[in-house]
Amino acid sequence: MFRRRLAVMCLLCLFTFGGALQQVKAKSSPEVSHEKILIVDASDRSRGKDNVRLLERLLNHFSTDVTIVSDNVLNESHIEQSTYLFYYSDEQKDVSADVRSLINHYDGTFIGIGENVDAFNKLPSVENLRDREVNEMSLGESERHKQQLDHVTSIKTAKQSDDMTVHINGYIEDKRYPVFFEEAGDFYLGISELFGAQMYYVAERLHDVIANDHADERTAYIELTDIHPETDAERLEEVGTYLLDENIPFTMAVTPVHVDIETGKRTYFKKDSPILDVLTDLQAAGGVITAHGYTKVDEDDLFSESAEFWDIRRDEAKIPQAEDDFTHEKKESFANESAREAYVERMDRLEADYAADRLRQSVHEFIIFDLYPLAFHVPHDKMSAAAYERTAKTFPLLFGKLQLSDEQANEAVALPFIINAYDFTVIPETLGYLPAHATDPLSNKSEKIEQLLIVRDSVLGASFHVYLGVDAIKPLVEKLRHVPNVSWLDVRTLEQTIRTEDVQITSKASGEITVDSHLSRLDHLLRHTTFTLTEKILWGLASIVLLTICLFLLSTLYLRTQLKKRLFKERKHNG
Amino acid sequence: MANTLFLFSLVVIWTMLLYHMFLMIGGNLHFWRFERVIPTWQENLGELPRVSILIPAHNEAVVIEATLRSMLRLDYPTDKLEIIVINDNSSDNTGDIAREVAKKHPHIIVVDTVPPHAGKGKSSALNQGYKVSTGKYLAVYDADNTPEKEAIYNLVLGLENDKKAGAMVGKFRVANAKQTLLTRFINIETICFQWMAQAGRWFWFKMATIPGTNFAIRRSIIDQLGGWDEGALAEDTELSIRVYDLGYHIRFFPAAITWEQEPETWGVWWRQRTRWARGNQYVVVKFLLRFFTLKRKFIAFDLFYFFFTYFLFFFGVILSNIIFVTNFFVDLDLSIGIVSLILWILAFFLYVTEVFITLSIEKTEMTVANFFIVIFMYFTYSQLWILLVIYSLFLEIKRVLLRQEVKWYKTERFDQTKEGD
Repeated sequence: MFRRRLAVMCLLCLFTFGGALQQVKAKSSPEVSHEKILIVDASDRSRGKDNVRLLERLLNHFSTDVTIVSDNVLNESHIEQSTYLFYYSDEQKDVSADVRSLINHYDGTFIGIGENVDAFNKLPSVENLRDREVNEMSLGESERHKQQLDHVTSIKTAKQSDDMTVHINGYIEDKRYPVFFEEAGDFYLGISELFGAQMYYVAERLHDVIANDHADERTAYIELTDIHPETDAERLEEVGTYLLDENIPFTMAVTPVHVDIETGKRTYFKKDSPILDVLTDLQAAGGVITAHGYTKVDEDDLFSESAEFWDIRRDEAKIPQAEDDFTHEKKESFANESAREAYVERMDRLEADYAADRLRQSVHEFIIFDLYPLAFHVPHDKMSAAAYERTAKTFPLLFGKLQLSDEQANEAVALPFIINAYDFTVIPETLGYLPAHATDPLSNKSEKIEQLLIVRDSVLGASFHVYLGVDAIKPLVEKLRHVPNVSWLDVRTLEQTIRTEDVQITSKASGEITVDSHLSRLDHLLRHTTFTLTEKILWGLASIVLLTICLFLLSTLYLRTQLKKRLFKERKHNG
Repeated sequence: MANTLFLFSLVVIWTMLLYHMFLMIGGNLHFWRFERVIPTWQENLGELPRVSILIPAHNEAVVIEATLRSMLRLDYPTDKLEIIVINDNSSDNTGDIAREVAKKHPHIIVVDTVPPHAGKGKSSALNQGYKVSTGKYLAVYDADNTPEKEAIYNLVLGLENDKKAGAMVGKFRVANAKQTLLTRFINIETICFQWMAQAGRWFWFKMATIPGTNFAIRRSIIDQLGGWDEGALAEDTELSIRVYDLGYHIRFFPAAITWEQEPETWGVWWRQRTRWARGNQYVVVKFLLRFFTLKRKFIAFDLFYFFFTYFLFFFGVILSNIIFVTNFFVDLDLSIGIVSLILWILAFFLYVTEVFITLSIEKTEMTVANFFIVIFMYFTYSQLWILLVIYSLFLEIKRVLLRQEVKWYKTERFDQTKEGD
């Protein structure tokens, strides 16, 4: 066992900006309450389920205690402790008397979304809802943050009354409709489709629903992404040095093992290699390493760039290779519910085991080379819930988008703000990456930033490929700098502990990183099982020589045992 | 650059070590098998042929009488044996002592070399002896040797039965092994050399090198070759190559044993070994330059072995040492990692186990003392060879450039009788 203490140059990590806007401070997520929030899911279609899961994640911005329950099984116990009750339905249907009764008697804050809300006695205006279409939205009755939607969107709206407080308005041509309004302490949201530009309006207005003290302050970060042992060290150094010179804290999403998807060749970091030297220097100067998987692509399925944690071809979560005989089953193939539950339980365990193994290997690979990852970024943002849960046990901080469902890897979602889910703090990658060949790569980023500004405490997170060069990142930095009320996220100042069975990395608010590693020198030596041709030959040679040495020793021992016999024979011969 | 050089040194060193490892396996197998032919050979043996023993002697007064006495004890019919002492320009009474013994034993002949052949070295002396000899086979012994009784009989037994053998080479042992630490080293070295290089090469390739002593060669071959090369410092190696070139093989037959004296002081050792090294360097250069005129290209194998031993191997070791030391002060960015260290450790254990086998073959040699001496030897005696080869190479280059005459250094003898008293 050896213990290493990395005394990081704290002064370099504590940035002080001359500008009025930028002031870096330790910030992981806003205060998270544990108030009980219940979502009654009355949807029957998969799209509806997706919307419910998105709602759940949006609510994780406010509370870690969010429960989804189907309207079919709703009972008194579900609602009795809940401070907030969301009812979601994306199609008209009869509401059972039980559900009707339970919700009517609920005395917390009620938020109805979509259809069938008129079945309850909560909001008078929902008695006469009308179907309309809108192509713009704004916050409140003023036209604050009035922006185009992605496309014309169907809404349900009510005639505005004096008792109504409108939180979101929808527009088409010169007409205005209340989309999200409040009456007597309860709320109604007239859109069941939450994905798209409308998500930002909903996300912001949830602050008016759930009690919170969130400040009007955005968080920005830049992630240098897709760094691996084959990355151009010079480019990385240029971009990293520029960000350091500009006092911009940044993260580096690093995959410690590069797999060539055409040849399957693995490349590791090497001691004293330029790329490792640059990474080590940037880390020492304040750059933060983010583990971007172990090999990023799935090595067992080369030629079809598959994600490390998700089998894209079969659209299902990865499990250990040894369990290949254990095939994924569809929901309908189970005889009964208990059989399905047993299957799900086993599947979750396998997915978690697989994730644990890759995480362990990834962290150990970093530790060998004195790189200390402080967060995780899931390759291709594709991961199952069980794997997320397992990952959270190693990394408390997750960057990127979040996959909402295990059933299919539908587009992962970048939530507009920091949330707490699966025991992670999730920092969303809201701006995506800068495209390589666009004439104006920042044009769509400006639009996205405008959307993100709708949300009071949104995150403006962008990833950047260093091969684009230092000149390409400068406009992005300038753009983010000029966002109102923005501060840069400095992961180094967050207090957290990264854990595997053998390694513990602790970062403190002062910027100091402490590493406890139980990895032996032998572990270090044995980690790299691939060698150059020369090394392979030399190891082969060493094996042959070792065998021969053993053979010689045995021969010596045999000769020793025959000594008396030989001496006797000689005496006899000499007479 | 450093990587290439390091790899080069690794390849050179391990080519040699692997070759020796391979030879050791052959040597060990030869030990278990070489006696199997003896009963058949004895059955086939007809009338014993006449044998001439050539003993070149230059200032050998200290040892010559004892050597002749041991020759007289040889288990071979005296009417088939002539013992020729070539008294080569001795300034002591070597000739007188030899003649005194010869008076009582007519099959001992003493030949005194005369100018221009006097004092020209061992090859020249052997040629003088060869001229007066009459035997079908010529056996050569150094003047300090004590052959075992059956030595000549066994050499003849081999030559009579193995018609393809141009020469039959016996085994030599160190008579004064326990005298000093140096003779202990040499004892281990000679045992190892014979069971590894001689027995191993014979087993795998039907090749051995004619040593300076305890071998018998067909007279017809010497006739054909016109005698020994008087320009060669290592006349034995030189002769070996010419014998191969005639199409014969040289058989290592360890049943024929002689005991000989080895240097007891470092100065004597240094001069003797310098002569050997220079002699072998001479042979390598001589035959590599004439390689295309050689009839049997298979000899190239042995020539390359010598070339590797006296040029490449030591160069590789020196290079590897330089890189090793330099790496302490300057980071050479060597890409071959831990495996090179493991190979270094394995090289040591390979050496140790190889020596252990050969010592075990010699029955009484695998002792606790020798166990430690073998290990000690690796870091001392073996390393001294590096300096010796560099020094010899320097002398040989100097000789060629300055066109100096070849001067034969005669190994100094030690009077065992006196020291034993």
